[in-house]
Amino acid sequence: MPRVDTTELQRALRARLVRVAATLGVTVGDTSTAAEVLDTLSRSVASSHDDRQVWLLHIGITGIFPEPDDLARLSRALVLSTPATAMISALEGTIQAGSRSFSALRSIEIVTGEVLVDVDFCARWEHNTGIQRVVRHTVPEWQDDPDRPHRLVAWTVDNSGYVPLTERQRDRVLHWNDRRFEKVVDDPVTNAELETAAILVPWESTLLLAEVPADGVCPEIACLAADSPNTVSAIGYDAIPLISADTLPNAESERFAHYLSVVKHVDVVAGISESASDEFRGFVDMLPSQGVEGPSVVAVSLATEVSEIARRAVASVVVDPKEPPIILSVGSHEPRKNQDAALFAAEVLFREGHDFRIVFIGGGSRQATYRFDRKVAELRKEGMRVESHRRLGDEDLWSFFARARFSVFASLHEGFGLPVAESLAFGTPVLTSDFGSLDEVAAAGGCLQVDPRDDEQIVAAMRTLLTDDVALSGLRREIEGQTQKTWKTYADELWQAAVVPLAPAAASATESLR
Amino acid sequence: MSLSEPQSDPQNIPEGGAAQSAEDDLNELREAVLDDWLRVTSSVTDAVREMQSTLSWRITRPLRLVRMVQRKVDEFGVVPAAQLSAAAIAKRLGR
Repeated sequence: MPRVDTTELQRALRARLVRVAATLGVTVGDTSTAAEVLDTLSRSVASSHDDRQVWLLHIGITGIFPEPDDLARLSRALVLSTPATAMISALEGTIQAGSRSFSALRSIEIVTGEVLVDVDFCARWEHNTGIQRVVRHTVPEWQDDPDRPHRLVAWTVDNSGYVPLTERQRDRVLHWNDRRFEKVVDDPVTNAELETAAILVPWESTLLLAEVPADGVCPEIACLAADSPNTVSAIGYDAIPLISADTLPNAESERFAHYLSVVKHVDVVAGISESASDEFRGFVDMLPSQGVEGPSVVAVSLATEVSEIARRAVASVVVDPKEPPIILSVGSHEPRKNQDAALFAAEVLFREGHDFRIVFIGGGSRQATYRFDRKVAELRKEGMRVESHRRLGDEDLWSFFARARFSVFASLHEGFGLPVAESLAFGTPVLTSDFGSLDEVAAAGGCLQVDPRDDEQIVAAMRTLLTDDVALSGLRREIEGQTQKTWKTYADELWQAAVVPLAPAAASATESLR
Repeated sequence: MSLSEPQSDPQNIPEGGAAQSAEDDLNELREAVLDDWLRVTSSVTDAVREMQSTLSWRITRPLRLVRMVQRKVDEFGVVPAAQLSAAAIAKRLGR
């Protein structure tokens, strides 16, 4: 049944609006009704002609973050209002947004002058590949650091506002390798919980997008970045879904295009390699056609170290000298990772009579793996030692790195190339590509590089590493002299590049509002 | 204003009183408009609640779970969505 008594709703609305009024420096009476507070606020915001204030007023009225269309609707309604009708215009301008979510009883906390780190996906899902591994290595480095105070935030399940992480979610982000809680899926959020959620509203704060945001929150983040007095930075992983769209499902490219609607409004993009940074710089170069300046782009290369647990595990592995040499290929199974070429090269060497075992490790959709797995099965029937593991635990993965003669990662396009860095960190030489970010990682030494589009080069390089002990020893010596970049160093550099430069901007926004 | 109250001659109402009366009317209107706004916005979500308690909503739940997975594919991409645990779906189904 529809609510007949709006007392509770009025109380929640008034509480939100009082917080908005305090933030905007608008005086409201202690005994004022919700309507009186809203009237005073609407008049003040309407007279300010300041979309940053409109952004906050929208959240105060509806309890949800506005999308660009929501903000434009409210802003225009206020422009057309008179002081006497400002409140009615404000309600008119928010009725659509206010009706689309369970948000009427929400409370808000306005977070001023702080740093918020968006770790939504890592907080909510038990999934751990490229981006999640970066986040789960980096963010814990900032915990309990008095010089890097911040809050971790995720989105409500209806993508309408930031909320703090639950203890279980913090565990997923901060203690991936040392969990305090059992790995379980979160309980579904009820409508009642959604309606009474406590929303965190950044104000003159800095938001760091540690992940690529989900499609559903891109309009809200774009609006926040463009029209609120917050500054926003993002880790720039790559532009693969656009540049290598031919190797991915169409949905991935479409999703990424929406993400770029966020990127163009952020202040800083910290690319994970020079190559990834160049991709984002290329995008920024396209923005003058829209009259948009775009972010500044800096390169902060990822760490190359592996965890102490992994190092210890690898060191404890006893290699059986009778075991045939192992060639290892690690990475999620996608066309651009070029596993087909590695398998083809291995087949050539098998037919030449070489004795070895090749192991592919990495998950993938059925669409991506079906044909590959059939080929593997066919080759196994012929007696070739080839395996494809879709779900393998960390311990087993590390064991393969310890026992492998070399690894193969001849990807066609990467943002960084963590499998190469990890292989080198474990002391295992790598056959990899000779351009882009993989070329950057390989520059440290220990790699034999090829053109990944040239099957013959891959075959020749694989044959060399399989048969030429002198060449392999040379690569191992190059690895021995390497010092891996730690996750702490990466976290420090990222904070310095993506957070520190934005703090003065947040402060200056405060000044201009006064 | 009650009917028993003496009727004032509008010509004789002091200007400030008229302004106060108009302001009171406006305030009353604002309260009423806000009340309506709250009823309207919450009635939409109430309607969703009502729909969710219907039999047809409950029996189409598996179909909506399929849609949820499709949405996740759109949101997060094929690989993460494909690896979304079956436990998530089982949990939604209450198993």
